[in-house]
Amino acid sequence: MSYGFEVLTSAGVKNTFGLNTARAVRIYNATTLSGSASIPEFNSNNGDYIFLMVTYAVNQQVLVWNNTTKTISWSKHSNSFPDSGYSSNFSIIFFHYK
Amino acid sequence: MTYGAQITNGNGDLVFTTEEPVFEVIGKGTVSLDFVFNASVGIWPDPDYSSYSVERNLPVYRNQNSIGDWDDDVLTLYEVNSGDRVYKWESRNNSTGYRQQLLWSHNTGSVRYVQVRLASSLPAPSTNYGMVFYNESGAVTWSDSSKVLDNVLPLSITSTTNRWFYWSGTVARTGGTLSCGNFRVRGIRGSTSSFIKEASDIGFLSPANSSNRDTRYCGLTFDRSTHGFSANIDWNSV
Repeated sequence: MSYGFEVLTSAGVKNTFGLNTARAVRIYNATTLSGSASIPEFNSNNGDYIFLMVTYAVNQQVLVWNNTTKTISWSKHSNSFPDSGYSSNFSIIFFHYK
Repeated sequence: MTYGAQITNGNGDLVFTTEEPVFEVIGKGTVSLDFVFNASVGIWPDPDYSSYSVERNLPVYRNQNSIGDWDDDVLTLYEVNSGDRVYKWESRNNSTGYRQQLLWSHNTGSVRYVQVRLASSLPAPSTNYGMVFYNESGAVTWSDSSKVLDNVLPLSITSTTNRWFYWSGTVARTGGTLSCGNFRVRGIRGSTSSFIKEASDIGFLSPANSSNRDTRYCGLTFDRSTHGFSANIDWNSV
């Protein structure tokens, strides 16, 4: 290993060379059925985002990310599902893996 | 950042800072075959329902936990073997707290899973050697004695070594006469060369009444934005 560092552990040597740990750069909690938010620290070329329901509902909103404006938006499906089928309390985790 | 530590890997990618949470491994397990779903299941790969395929005799694996043991911030990664297709369903009962994930897989043995949580604070090391990182608040954000996902990659990759996946997506339930509520599902298909995320539409379908599948049977409507990540996990060390 020509750079970085190594740690000797009971499970062997850990080093930083091949590390690809996901970094959670932002955890956004949404409290509306539809809306949008600015997430300037996220770049979809470097990672992804996932939806976590805090208060469970049958349906999950459509998430759309605009990497130019750095905006995430969420809304119901175009189908006529009732509002009660969606949660207004969920989290979106934005993470980078590089 | 003006203090703390950060790590850059061999590709020059920033992969860790002391101020950001990591995916801590909090458990692992194996789900075995529960039953074989002997009705037919329609798989619609296109939102317009222009075509579909029918799966029969799908082996079903059931991963059951109650809320509390399996909190909302816990992510479950399932192992998808090469050439296998796995469809993940999730259902809950908000009154009782019962929660389960159902897998349809052609793997006729068992399916392994690893549970992780996005952790801003890890347990203090139990040894007096090795390395520990602390954040501004004094919480442990990395230590060599903690189990964290240390090899996380995009969901779709051209690697056959990463076969553990967490995936989520957008899905909405359509009408149906079957008990099909509280489902969320995404499909992943593993091949010998890459892992493919399937934005398929999945519903129950009676062979004798396939023409009425939109109104008489449970269906799920997707967009095509499956999200998540894969990980290279050493089962023996997590």
